[in-house]
Amino acid sequence: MKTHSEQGLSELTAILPQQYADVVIASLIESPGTSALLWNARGTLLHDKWYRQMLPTISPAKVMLQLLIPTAQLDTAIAIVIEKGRLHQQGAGAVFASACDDVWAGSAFHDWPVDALPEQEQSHLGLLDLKEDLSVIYCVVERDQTRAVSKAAIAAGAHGPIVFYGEGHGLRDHLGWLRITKQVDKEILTVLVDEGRSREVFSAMANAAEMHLPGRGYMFMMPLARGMFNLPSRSSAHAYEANMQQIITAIDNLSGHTHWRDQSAYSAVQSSRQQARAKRCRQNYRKDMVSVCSVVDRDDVEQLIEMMLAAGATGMQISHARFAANEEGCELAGAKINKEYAIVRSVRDAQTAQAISAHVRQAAEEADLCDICMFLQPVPLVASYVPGHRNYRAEPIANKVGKQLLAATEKPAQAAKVRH
Amino acid sequence: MSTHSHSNRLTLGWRDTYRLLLPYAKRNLTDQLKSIWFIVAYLILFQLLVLHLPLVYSAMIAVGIGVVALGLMFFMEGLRVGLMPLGEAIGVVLPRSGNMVLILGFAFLLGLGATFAEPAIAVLKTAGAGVQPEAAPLLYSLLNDFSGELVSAVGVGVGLAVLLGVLRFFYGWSLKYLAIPAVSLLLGLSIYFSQTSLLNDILGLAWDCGAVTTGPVTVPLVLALGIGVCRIVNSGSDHNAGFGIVTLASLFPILAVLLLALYHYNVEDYYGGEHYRGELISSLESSAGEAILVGDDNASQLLRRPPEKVSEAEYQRYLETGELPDGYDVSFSASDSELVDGALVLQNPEVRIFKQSERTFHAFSDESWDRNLSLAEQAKTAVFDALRAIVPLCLFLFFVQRFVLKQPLHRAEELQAGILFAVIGMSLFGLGIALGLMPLGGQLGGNVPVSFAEITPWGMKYAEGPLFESEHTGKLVAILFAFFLGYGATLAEPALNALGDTVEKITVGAFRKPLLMQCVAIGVGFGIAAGICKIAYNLPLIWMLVPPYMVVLLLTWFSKEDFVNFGWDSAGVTTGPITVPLVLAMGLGIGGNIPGVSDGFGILALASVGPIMTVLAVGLMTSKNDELSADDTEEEPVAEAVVS
Repeated sequence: MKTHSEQGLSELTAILPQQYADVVIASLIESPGTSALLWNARGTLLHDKWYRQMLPTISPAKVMLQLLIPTAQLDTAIAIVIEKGRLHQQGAGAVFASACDDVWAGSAFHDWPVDALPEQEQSHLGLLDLKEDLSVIYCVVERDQTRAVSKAAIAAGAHGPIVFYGEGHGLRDHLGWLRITKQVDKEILTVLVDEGRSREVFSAMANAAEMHLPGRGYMFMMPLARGMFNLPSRSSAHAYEANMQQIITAIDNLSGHTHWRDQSAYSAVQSSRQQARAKRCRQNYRKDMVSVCSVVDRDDVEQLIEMMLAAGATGMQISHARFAANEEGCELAGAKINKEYAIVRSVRDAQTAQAISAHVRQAAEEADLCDICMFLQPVPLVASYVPGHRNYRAEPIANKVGKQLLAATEKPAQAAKVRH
Repeated sequence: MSTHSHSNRLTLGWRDTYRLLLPYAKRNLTDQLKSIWFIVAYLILFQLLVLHLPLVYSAMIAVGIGVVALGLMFFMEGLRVGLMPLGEAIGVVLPRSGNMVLILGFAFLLGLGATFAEPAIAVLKTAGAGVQPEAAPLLYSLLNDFSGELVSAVGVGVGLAVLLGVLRFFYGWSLKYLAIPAVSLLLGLSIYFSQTSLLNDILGLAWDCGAVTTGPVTVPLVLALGIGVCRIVNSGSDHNAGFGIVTLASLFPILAVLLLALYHYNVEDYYGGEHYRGELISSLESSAGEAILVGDDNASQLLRRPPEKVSEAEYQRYLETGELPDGYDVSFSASDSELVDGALVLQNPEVRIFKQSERTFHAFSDESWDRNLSLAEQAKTAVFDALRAIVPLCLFLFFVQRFVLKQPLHRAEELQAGILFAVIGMSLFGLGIALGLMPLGGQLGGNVPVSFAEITPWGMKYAEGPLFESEHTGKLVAILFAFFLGYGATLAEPALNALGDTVEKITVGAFRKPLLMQCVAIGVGFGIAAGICKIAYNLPLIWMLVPPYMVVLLLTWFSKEDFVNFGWDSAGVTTGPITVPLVLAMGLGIGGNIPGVSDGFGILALASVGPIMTVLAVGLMTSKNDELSADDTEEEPVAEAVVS
């Protein structure tokens, strides 16, 4: 097991349009030993004309890319992504990075070699557009809710969320065949927001998804070290005129900030009912939590879930990704055989997160699970259902079972703690 | 490897299990009711409101529909939880074995086994039940004497198709370059066949074979296998999405049947040929094989309603007030008639006034349950069919995974529960169709011709005349009916639901399931309307087949690869256990009233072309939209010039 705390790793995520994804990946993993994780996503676009909404829309296809690279190479990597992915174009994509704490990796995990990326010329354009006060909002919801949440996010001023699929796992995995009663498939919406609008967008999305009710999903916001985004929210029929978004982006670039867009002086007064509802939502926000994220080979996911459950993580979201690496992979009849990884993330309070990390590290050593990596990231704001808060009307039946499951697992969790 | 520590497993009491299962069951049941309500309501309302005919066996139909909804609920869950994960798991593990022979051999065996598990030969025999051996000897022989060979030929065709489909994933061949030549070859052969009268009869059988082969168990399994393989195999092109096998599995059997027919034609061992080995049936016996799905009394004499009598009371009222009885008909007869100044003058006329016979309209006929139907028999048949369709395939997959590839099955409990659900679901589904949809479809199929011909409707004694004066109007109504029948029945198909889910998953939600379902349903509606048009006017099949397929080939050439993939697959998915009985019943019912039509072939083939056209058309429409927005991104960034 290696620890990288002295080097400082960052998690770099990029959202690229599908046509440029291959080029970007090829440039990023030129050196031997480099690797990246990719998965497919879609963008969200609302039509600006009402009659176009009746035509079938196919949302733009995007590819999401994730790298775990040393912080020293972050700028180079971002510059490569922006240049090769042509992220300056309107509606192209985004790239953002956040620091990872307490990273440890198994012996078989692909580490990013130091000095892998060639030093690029400092391209002015690339770094000029990077902002340092961005946050990313991840929202895990059921499939039926995505449209409502996307609309709320766009109405609050964010770009069209980038959506990809994930699975929700947790205590219900211990139920045996009754697991089929749970709808495991979730959609994960990703929104990048500026500092000024972050709280507003977050509240709008949480209200639309009714996060304070049980069974509605999970939502959290993470600060980013560096990033830029250029994603659209509306599709327009104008091929030659500039649409509103292009004009706004141009003015942003001219002024150098987005504060000119502040409309708080004009915002309409919400009705008292809406205010009460918003207040109820806000009461359920939890602060200062930590996200435990781990990257593991897809075949070992169930083992990892067991370990995390034993360590006290009651719920986690999993997304599956393909592995792209600069190495001689297996080939069969002219086609390359992919390797698959799963990215497992659980957001808990700081103490539990540390416990989970330590426990899984030990359990992975014991179980000889080598192809794994785990890191922590701070999460300042979380919106989800908090058991016990009685400020909602209906308590679904499944919630009672959830409480019992929670009670039932406290025993093995305590037993696990005793072992250490 | 995946050690599920059962010590951690939580056991819930009965009440808590119930609390978990109830919302889950409710959610699934409402989903299924949402998909079948349209077709059921449409059929019932059409019979009652448009045709003014009573529903026979109403209680049985009601029970049957409930059972179908339950069966669909279990079956779809079984697919989602058991069959599709199983197929995907094998698809993921298979390429890693590194052995191409193993992979291709497995693919071939899967295709072969799937055909024998869900034999469509019963459907084809029903469609060809009215075929006279003298009129179409080759067709008759293929269906009756060589039916084993037919099934084997179809099986080999499907096996080769799955093999080629899997190979396509490795080499990254575009589906366009496989489908367009294949369809061109088939069309060429068909045009050649249409020149010879003996071979012309085979066309309907061949094209329908392609449409019915892949059933509701095979399609999700093969789709999941494709998805699994494509997750792992990266052949460099972005667009291989795991689709394409179903397409090939619908095209290759057509070729196989055409070649089989050509072989038998050349060897001349069909009925009446030189080397025929069977017995020639005398013409008396052969006329007994009428279309069996049309109502009981249809073939023989049409009993017309005797006229009603004017009663004494009405006569008295006429004498007193001079009012004629309600609903009367007048007939004139005269001893002498002459034409005077362009007017017809009758000498000594005699006027007869008699009452029109009206029947009272009841919504439900007296028979609410078919006495001849044995519930136990039907249930047994349904269970056997379900077991036969699902269990061998699952055992084969399980065997390959555990003993050949030596990989453990993840989440075995869910798989077991899923397969059990699938078996239960399919049995209930089969039973429900026999109880509910077959009688309903049969009634409507038998009764729809009342719009243009005089027939004895189901369960009634007297003949009813054509509803519309002009025969063409009546046939037009029948064709419109067929459109909505196709639309509604397709929305209820389980295999299409599975395809819609898969497409939505692969495109990460960009192409939504309701959009695909509506496109395909509208396409099938058009196809079935065209098929009924073919039967109603007794057009040759080749006229109805070649133009749509030419349009489809053109659309395929210009479409994006993504849409070609799932557009062509949606064709193979459509005709399933709900659509086929309804459509065949209607086809045979209408065909029975058109002189010269002996079989119901051809409708299903046309029903497969429609969805390809609609999906590809939608693809072209939206890719035009994408091009518009792509133009935006190609603009030079204006900000650059200002900053620097």
